[in-house]
Amino acid sequence: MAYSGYENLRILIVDDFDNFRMTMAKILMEHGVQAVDSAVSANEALKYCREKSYDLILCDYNLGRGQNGQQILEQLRSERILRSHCLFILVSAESSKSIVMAAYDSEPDAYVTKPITAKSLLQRVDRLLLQRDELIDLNKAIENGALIEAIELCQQKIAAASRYTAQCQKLLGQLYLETEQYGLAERVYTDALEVRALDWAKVGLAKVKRLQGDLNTSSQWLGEIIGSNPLCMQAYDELAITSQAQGDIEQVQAVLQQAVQISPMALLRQQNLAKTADENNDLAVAANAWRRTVRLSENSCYDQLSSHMSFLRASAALFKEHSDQAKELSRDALKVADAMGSRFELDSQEKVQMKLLESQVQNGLGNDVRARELMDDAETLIEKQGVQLSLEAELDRVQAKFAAGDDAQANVLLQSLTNDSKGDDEALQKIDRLLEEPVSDVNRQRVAQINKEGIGLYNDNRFKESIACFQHAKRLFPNHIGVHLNLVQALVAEMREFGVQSEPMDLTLDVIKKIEKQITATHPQFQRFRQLHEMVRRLG
Amino acid sequence: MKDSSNSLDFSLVLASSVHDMKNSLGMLLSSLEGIIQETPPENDEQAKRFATLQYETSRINGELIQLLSIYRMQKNRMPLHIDEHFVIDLIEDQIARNHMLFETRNIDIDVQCDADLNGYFDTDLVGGVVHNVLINCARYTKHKLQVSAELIDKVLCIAIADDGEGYPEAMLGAPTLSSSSDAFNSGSTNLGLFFANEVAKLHCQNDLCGRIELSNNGPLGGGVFKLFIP
Repeated sequence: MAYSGYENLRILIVDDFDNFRMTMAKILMEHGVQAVDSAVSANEALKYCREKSYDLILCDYNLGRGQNGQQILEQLRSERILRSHCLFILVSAESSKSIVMAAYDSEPDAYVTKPITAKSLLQRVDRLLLQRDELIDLNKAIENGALIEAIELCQQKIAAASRYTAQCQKLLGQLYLETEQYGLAERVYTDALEVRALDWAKVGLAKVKRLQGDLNTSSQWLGEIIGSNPLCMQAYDELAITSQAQGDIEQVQAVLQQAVQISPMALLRQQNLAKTADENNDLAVAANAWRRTVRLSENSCYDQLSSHMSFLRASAALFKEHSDQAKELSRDALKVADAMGSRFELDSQEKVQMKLLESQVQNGLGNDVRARELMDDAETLIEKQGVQLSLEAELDRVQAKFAAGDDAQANVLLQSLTNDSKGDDEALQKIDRLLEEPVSDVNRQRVAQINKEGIGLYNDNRFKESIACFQHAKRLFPNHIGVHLNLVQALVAEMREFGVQSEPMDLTLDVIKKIEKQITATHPQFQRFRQLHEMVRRLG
Repeated sequence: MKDSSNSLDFSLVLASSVHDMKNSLGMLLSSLEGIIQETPPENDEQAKRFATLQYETSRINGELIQLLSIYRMQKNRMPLHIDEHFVIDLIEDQIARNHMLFETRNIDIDVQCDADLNGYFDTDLVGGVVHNVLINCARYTKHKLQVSAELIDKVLCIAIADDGEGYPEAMLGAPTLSSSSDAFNSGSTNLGLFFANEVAKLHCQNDLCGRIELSNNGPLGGGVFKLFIP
């Protein structure tokens, strides 16, 4: 069955090679198409798309410099100029897994690998056009937000056992979910699963369970889907959402880390991982994920100034843990910072913030003079020109002062920020990570909860679990002396019971060193620290 | 230590150069198509040469894709996308891909497949198998090929029959690639069959996995290749 409506189609062909463009254009014209445009670059393609409406875009993946085909698709979607009647076909010579996975992730109407003869491609186009025409009302209804009408159209097509029943079932499931008719969605997915155990229906069903509030079942099912098909990216994304709903941020990070290994080029997932690792205070994972986010952002419509800043912030923070890794990442981050001016228009606050972040990184790299210069520049802008800073930028300022060794100034600033934020728990949570003990209600409860759990395990002589618990707490509250002392105490108990080993001993000494730097003789826990320190000495 | 740590992983080197070759060949194929489009053959002799060029390039291309796919399967890096597809679409795609070959060799193709017959498979991988079999058949058949698809006990069977001399005795039945040197000595590595068999095995449903089968005395008097996908 061939498509008969070629005369009225408007088509855009995007490829940096003349050959493919010309061959395709010629063949399409032989089929009666009158309006064929061709573009050699992403910019030209976007220009055409902003001016005209197309029925079909045939776009090569690799377009040399500038955006690739997938980024064009994302850009068109973000500008909302890709209408539902327009088919977008990504043509690529790439068959490497990461590119193919990323291309599937961005969901073009079809992904076609080269080499492909014009005739085969045309046959593919034929089928997609037939399908488009058959489902055009349905897609238009969805595009216009007329979901009730869309549901009816789906039901009609399914009842008529049309060629596109499977597509309609998929859509119907999604439409029921969007209209919060979970029972009906569940029915669609279970019906589909009775015929065949297909991933989309399994994922759909797990999503229903989550929306109905059954988080455990949802997460269990999603885990099973990933187990049987580790390439099912939707399952990872759904599992991350479910884990988030369960409040298990560590699990969110673990899931995203796994997903990112399989499909490393999906920008939004990298960004999500970076943010999650930030939240977990997992410095190494965060810094690396920000680096990948920033790299993938080049030419992308998802490029954001905040990602570049986060990359700088994360690589500066990493000096506390892995200075070798931090050095490498920081150099990269500085390069990114250099290019920032040409990529974004910075307002005065952002300029200050950039200087503060760069100053921290330069301190980490041992370039004290440069770091000081940047800091002085920033302070001048703040004090002389009265640039107002957001809380986030103020915290960058505090960090920069700590990095420069101006601890007294940093603490004064921190104190005044805490006072200004009284009553604003969200703001206080942001400040908490820099303080010795949290001041926000949420984090105070959190640290109390974890401490209680760890002490409970300790009292049951379950030292290993107790250690894991306090390590988690240490990561979340990196300056909390009580947590650090609890960790040392659990480590000492473990080593007394099972003998001194190098790994727990090294950790113990590290923690002691860290407390020593921070604690003063007037600290209420100073006595306890000295006792624990003595016990460690006797062990070693 | 068996291997010195600085020795190259030969399979990786091979895979990446195969990848490059495949891309170059893609360019070659599309240029060729362009040339034929722009300067159609003026006589039979030219047409034959074009056909040979096209046949040989697509054969090399098929082999390279196979090599790469097998490498990825073994490294467990094969993205497998099993979904519902119409079988007729798959068959028509592969025939379209090789239409010049069939035209220039005067081979008639008869397709027996219900337009609404659907199956659950990875269309790129199964398409690759059908493509290879078609190319192979184009070489050994006389005038005709028959591609058919049907459900047998809920298992999809795609069969490709020719009117040639049939498959050699040693290949009949359900062949597996014995990586013995036999295959190399006889000049045929049976790589195509190995690939087909691996692709079939990736398609499983409730403990039942796909398989391939070769037989002779088929509907056109020659050999028949069958791919079963549950």
